[in-house]
Amino acid sequence: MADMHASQQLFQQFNNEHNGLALQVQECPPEARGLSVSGHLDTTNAASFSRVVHAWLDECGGVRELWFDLAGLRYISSSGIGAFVQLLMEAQSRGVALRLLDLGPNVQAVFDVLGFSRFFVLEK
Amino acid sequence: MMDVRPGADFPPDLFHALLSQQMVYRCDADDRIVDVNPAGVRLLGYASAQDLIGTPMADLYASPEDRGYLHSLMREHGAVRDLEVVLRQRDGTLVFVLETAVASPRAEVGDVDSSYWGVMKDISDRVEAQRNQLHTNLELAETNRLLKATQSRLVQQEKLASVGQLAAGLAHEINNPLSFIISNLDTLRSYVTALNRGLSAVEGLIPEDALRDHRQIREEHHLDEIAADLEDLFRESRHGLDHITSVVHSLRTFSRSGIGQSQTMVDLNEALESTLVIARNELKQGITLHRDLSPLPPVSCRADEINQVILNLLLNAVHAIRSRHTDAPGTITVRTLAQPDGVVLEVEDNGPGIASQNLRRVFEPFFTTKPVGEGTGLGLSISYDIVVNRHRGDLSVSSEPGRGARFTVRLPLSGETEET
Ligand SMILES: Nc1ncnc2c1ncn2[C@@H]1O[C@H](COP(=O)(O)OP(=O)(O)O)[C@@H](O)[C@H]1O
Ligand SMILES: [Mg+2]
Repeated sequence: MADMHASQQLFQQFNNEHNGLALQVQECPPEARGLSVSGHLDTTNAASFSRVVHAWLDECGGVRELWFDLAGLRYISSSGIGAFVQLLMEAQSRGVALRLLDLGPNVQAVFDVLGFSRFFVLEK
Repeated sequence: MMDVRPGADFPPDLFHALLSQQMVYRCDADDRIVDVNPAGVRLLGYASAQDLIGTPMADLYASPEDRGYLHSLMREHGAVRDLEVVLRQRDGTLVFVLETAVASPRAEVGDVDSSYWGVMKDISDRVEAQRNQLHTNLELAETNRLLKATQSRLVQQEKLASVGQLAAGLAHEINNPLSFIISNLDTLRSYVTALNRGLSAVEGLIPEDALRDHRQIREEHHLDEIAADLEDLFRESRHGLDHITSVVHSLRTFSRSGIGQSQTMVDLNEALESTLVIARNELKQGITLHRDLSPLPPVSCRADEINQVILNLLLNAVHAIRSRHTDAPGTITVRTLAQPDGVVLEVEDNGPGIASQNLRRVFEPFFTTKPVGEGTGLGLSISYDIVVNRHRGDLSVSSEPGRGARFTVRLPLSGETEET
């Protein structure tokens, strides 16, 4: 798949420029796109995370679902949650559903504390 | 009291002012609190520093895993700056703070892991403000989407209504001439048959010596070909007129000019079975029908209209499967399902499915992808009108292009429907 290759390059560059956060395209059913997020997402990298994922979203034309595998996400701050909320709004306006998978308890806790869990599809 | 001294080049007043605002703590090698300042005691909602001394720092975190993360950063960098963590106050309230930690300056050289100093700055107000902003945006977006959905539904209903009026007028205009054309055509056909018969009788009387001339005349005027063509012409005309009749019939149903049938209690499974009988001929060739039916409570509805909906869905499925032009087995699955507040009927096929850009258009009046003369584009819009407007139900479609389409009819149990 050509666009899968393009996305991988997009994230390769991101990963080179950011130490604590690694993004990787994942295999998904045909109408979905998947990204695994590992490391930590905080004020230092939330903005560039947002930027690269929005760019990715632009490439994912015609896709119905975006999957984020958060199993490797060790830490998230409120800015990280903010990045996901903005992404959610952008995705919804394009008719794309967002699924966040395998959140660790501390990551889930920040979603809960801030009261955003009910807006997301969070899956174990 | 904790012994905190400013560094050599730090203004002492500023140093103490800062520390009176922010929690400062020291913990031992086991990460238990050894000392904490009054601002810290206040921040965590305790009465005195004594209540906190000996407490593992991880216990004060909303997520103990985050303390582990801080430790790993300390090991890696020797210090942590402004790490956002969530602390749990004594009464359970959660507060967002920025934590800065360094290995204790009094630690011996080579003993950096022995204890930490930490400062916690309460940022709950800031986080709360940002959170509220995001929350408002999210809720606004949600409301907007809802409004849009309602609006497009209203537009759809408006379209249906105006097309309905148009259709009523058209159907009426066409219906009268149509019936006398059909009747005249039938008469014409019987006249021509009679003429032919008369002609043959007359031909029987032609004397032997005139037969040659007679044959020549027949040939000159192509009478034999014409006679052979006539039957086809009549049949094709009749065929075309039948199609027009069925279109007009659809238009009339669509415009509700038909006589409104009253509501009865209907078992959708029975309605389905009777419609399957009607559609049997279409379903025969190369199509396997799967029934996946559950017992259903009766619902109050207009049976003839619901039958029409089911028939439309079945015929569309058949047409979809035929349009593939392959010999691969076609399957249609009909499914019924009882839900707490209604009943559900699904017609699913493994035809070509519906391209995503057409998905929202299939319920539009006159939308059809079938060749001229084959599709009216009215079946689904009529069905939509019947289910949604007249029965307060729901008709939806989902499709994976290349794999097939599924149409879902939902009828509410409380059969409060629109008056005819
Ligand atoms: N089961 C189906 N599979 C694929 N396309 C379908 C199916 N049902 C309906 N459609 C699409 O929706 C269009 C409109 O259907 P309908 O309103 O019944 O009108 P018509 O059948 O006269 O075209 C069809 O022309 C076809 O493109
Ligand atoms: Mg149809």
